Amino acid sequence: MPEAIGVAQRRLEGGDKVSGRTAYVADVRVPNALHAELVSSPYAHARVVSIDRTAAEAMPGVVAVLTADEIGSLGLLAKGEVFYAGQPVAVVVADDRRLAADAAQVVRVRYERLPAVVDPVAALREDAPAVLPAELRSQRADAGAHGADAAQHAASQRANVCGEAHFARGDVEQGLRLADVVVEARYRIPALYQGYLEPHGTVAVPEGDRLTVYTTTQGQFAVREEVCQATGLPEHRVKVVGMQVGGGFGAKFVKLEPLCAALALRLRQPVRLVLSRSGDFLTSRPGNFAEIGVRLGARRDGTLTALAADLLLDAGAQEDGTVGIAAMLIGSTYRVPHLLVDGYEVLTHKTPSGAYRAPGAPQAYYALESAMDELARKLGQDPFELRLRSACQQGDPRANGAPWPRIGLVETLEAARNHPFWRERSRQADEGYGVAAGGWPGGTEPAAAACRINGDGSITVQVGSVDITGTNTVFAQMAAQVFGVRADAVAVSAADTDAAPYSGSSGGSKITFTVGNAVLQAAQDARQQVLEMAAQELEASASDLDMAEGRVFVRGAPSRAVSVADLARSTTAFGGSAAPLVGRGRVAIKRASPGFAVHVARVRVDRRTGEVQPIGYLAVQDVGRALNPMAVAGQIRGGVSQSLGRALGEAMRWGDSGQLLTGSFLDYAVPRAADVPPIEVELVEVPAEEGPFGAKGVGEPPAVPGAAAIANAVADATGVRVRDLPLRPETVLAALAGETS
Amino acid sequence: MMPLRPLSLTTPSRPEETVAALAAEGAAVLAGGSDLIPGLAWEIPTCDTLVSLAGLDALRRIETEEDGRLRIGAMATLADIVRHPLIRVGYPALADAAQAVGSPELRAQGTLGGNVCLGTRCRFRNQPPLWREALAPCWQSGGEVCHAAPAKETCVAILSGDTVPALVALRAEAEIWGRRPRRLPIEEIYTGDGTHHLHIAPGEFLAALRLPAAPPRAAFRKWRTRASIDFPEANAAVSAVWRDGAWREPVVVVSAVGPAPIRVQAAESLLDGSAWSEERILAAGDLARRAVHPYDNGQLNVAGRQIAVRGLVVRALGDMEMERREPVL
Ligand SMILES: Cc1cc2nc3c(=O)[nH]c(=O)nc-3n(C[C@H](O)[C@H](O)[C@H](O)COP(=O)(O)OP(=O)(O)OC[C@H]3O[C@@H](n4cnc5c(N)ncnc54)[C@H](O)[C@@H]3O)c2cc1C
Repeated sequence: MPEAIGVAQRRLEGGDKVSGRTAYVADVRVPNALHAELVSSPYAHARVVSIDRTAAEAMPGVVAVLTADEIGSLGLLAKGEVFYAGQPVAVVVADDRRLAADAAQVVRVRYERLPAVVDPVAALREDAPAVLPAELRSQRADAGAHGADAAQHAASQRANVCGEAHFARGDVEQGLRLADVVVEARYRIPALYQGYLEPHGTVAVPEGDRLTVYTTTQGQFAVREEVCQATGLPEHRVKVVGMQVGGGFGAKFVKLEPLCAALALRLRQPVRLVLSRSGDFLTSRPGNFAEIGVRLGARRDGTLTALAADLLLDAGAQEDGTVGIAAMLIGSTYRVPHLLVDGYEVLTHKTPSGAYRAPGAPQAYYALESAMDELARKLGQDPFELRLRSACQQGDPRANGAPWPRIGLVETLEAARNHPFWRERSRQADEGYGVAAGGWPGGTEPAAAACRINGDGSITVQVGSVDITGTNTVFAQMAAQVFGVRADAVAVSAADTDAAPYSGSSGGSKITFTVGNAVLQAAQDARQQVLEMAAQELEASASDLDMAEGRVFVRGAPSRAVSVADLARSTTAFGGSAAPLVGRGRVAIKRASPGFAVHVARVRVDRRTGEVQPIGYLAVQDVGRALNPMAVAGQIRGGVSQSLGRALGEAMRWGDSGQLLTGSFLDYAVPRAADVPPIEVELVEVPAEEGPFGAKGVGEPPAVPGAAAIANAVADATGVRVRDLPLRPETVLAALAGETS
Repeated sequence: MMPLRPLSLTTPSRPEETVAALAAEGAAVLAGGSDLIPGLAWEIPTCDTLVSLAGLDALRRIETEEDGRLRIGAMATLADIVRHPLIRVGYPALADAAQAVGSPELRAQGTLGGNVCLGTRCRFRNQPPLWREALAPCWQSGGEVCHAAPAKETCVAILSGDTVPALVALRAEAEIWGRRPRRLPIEEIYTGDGTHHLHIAPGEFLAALRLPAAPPRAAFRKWRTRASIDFPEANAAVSAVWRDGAWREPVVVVSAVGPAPIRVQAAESLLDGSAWSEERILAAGDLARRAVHPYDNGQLNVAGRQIAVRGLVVRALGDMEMERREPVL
């Protein structure tokens, strides 16, 4: 019987993607479509005094120029006041794209500039002006702080704090006094653009009392919900077609869809809104800037005595909720008797932050794992030794006191330590190695799936999840495993929201874990239906039957068999006697599957120019069970590459007045293939109890430890610690110069 | 990307026609277009007619002239230069500099002439139109202020062609065609003003670069964020002749720190007439660092660019001295 699980399988859609046949949302052509173009504010904070549209409206071919006054904000348009540079204040709709762009340029907006709060540290100050007016703030529930003291409550009252998290255990000052060695340091990691190849775009098509929305999203049901909320349509009248996504990494949930839908409904014509790259940068929802202070104490033997961490995350001009995860992870990775974590998220006049692959985790682990490295150096200890002494295991308390389920942090650390990349390391002059761990708690959401046996015996799996990482390929493998066939005998239909069973958005590393379980159930259900039909045919009990390569046979007597195709045909024939074969799976898994990764980077540093060159890399990860090792390795290599960008070049930077200084791929330095060293991948398999075949979330952990691994390697190579990312040559040079002077 | 505004394009096949077309108001030379076209999408610069040099076959050639000089047509691509045997062997610093430009796609499309004539760059100018709306117009856009250097009366945007310092170090000569063709040392085509950075008049264009028959040895180095694509934030080239047990006629040139390349004469004097000890090399690096005054108009900061200039010159001189002691070939 062919094994389908655990076998390297090329992605089903890969051939179409690399040969250019895949249609993305910008390729959607509908007759009579209008083109929308945004008119955006050049200023970070301003009052909109007036909008003169006469010149634009007079241009032949311009259909409408609309503002929030007529259509509402729709999550995007400014109403009277702008809060970040690039925020749209009006939208022009015209017959042609170039025309819409020209018309947008002649919409005359008069602004009264207002002082912009750009620096998150300044935004936190007691006397800082409020970034958003009260009506744009949600009513914040009490922080629910564990052990929060009066000082924290005072900070919570500050105008721009929009989120916080506090965890405490023991007495951290006492714990620090018990330490022989204390590391005290502050780390900064910039806001990061997700760097997807495909900019945001949406096409909305009204049809009678219905609306169809084609879009690039990680979650079509989330889009449907928000479009319905914005337009007042009920969910059964809105169909969202999730197109192939040209990269999302957390940035593609809902953005343009409510606006585009509202325009289409108002103008009763299809409307297309596709952003240019610079438009995309300006309205992007980057990963949060974070400044994290750490005090970490240990005994001379490396036993941790105390960890105190204060986190400041920049939310930009909209409330966000990343600080909770960051604060939780930083306090949950190592066993430490005395713990105090205080996290705040503040509003500033910058593009609102959003999710970027494992939101909050790279920030938290950059600080934690840099501090662990500094501690190892102070103690003169091996970096693995120090970590293994305190690494959390099943039953150890997380920051909030809840015990960890079975996790693979220790196994992953051990696998990395035993790998030849580390064991046989050789350190030339100006080279260094850096170690870092990181993890991601995983996610859950109810999901359903269907599995149909077609008239010829072939199998179709139906899901509503958006495939951004190869999940459809894995679903095919799962069904194939259940039926004992090869994966290419299974088709996976990722249908639109009208046709597909519910699935959550592709975020949080949960699709294989949740939808996968539903697919498995659906396939098993369909299999049982086939066995029951065969039992009648073969006059045997269903429990005595088995199935492989398209045949059902009596266990122990393989010649007593019937083909699945023959059985299936009778379910689809005119006058046929058997009901169609449709398996159903529906799950609501309650416990997530946390995943850990350990990375080791090798770098070379040119002391004269400050250039850091990664020359080797090892990524070890606990994946529960590698259902498709090829796809898993691909996820890991992608995550490592993004971490290299985070470590060495990428940063969203704003000028003092809130102008985005890095608004294109020229200035925003994503690594290219030539900048990425060979990456060795090693998989650890500590099965997840509730995961399909033991699998756990794989997508996010590989994006977590890399920045610290690189920074630790640079410290190893030079003896100099740079705590502000990215480690661009200017930063490294400055640090080296400080060292020599 | 934003669709381009309508433009007219002409591709003359005779130099006289090119000269005539270029003399018209609003005309600009189109070579490989690797910089010009993306720039036009952001309305930097603005022009209505592109005059392509692609119809002039002579401009694509790389050939040895009768007196032994190497003549490289302005339309030779950077990829042509990287792989040309005469250049790899005789003028490797130029091949290195061409190799350092952008990415493989850009080197296949970009030309040497385009690289030498490349428009100057500035963080406050090379931005989408909406971005620029927030600032008062600068010298380049018809205003009277420089956002990078408010005290300056002229534009200090950065000369960003990577081949420029290598060509200066190799003592290249530029051949300009127009109504009156002329030749001049490459350094002399740069004005030092970022707005009109070339001494090339309307109706003129760069036709070729000529390199000496017996070139000095040379080395090139570049500093930027990503090795795989980025524009230089500083670059440098050095050259000298090894004769009678000493380096002679050294050239030390630093670029991408202002609108024109900078010769570091103090370093050149220091390096003339001896072998290069580590101390001497480091001292030359310090002199180079002191000779440059970058403004805050790149992506990397002023202090970093200044320290990097020292590093680049030290590394380039080190490359030459090491190769003399232990020739690689
Ligand atoms: C992402 C990106 C990265 C880049 N990185 C680098 C880099 O690292 N280093 C670097 O040096 N360059 C870089 N470039 C710029 C550019 O690709 C190269 O400089 C290239 O060599 C330009 O040549 P071209 O033939 O494409 O010039 P074009 O784009 O056709 O022209 C450039 C300019 O020169 C003028 N011009 C061209 N030829 C002539 C001529 N014969 N006579 C008079 N004027 C002329 C044009 O009018 C125009 O103003 C980069 C560009 C991009 C888009």
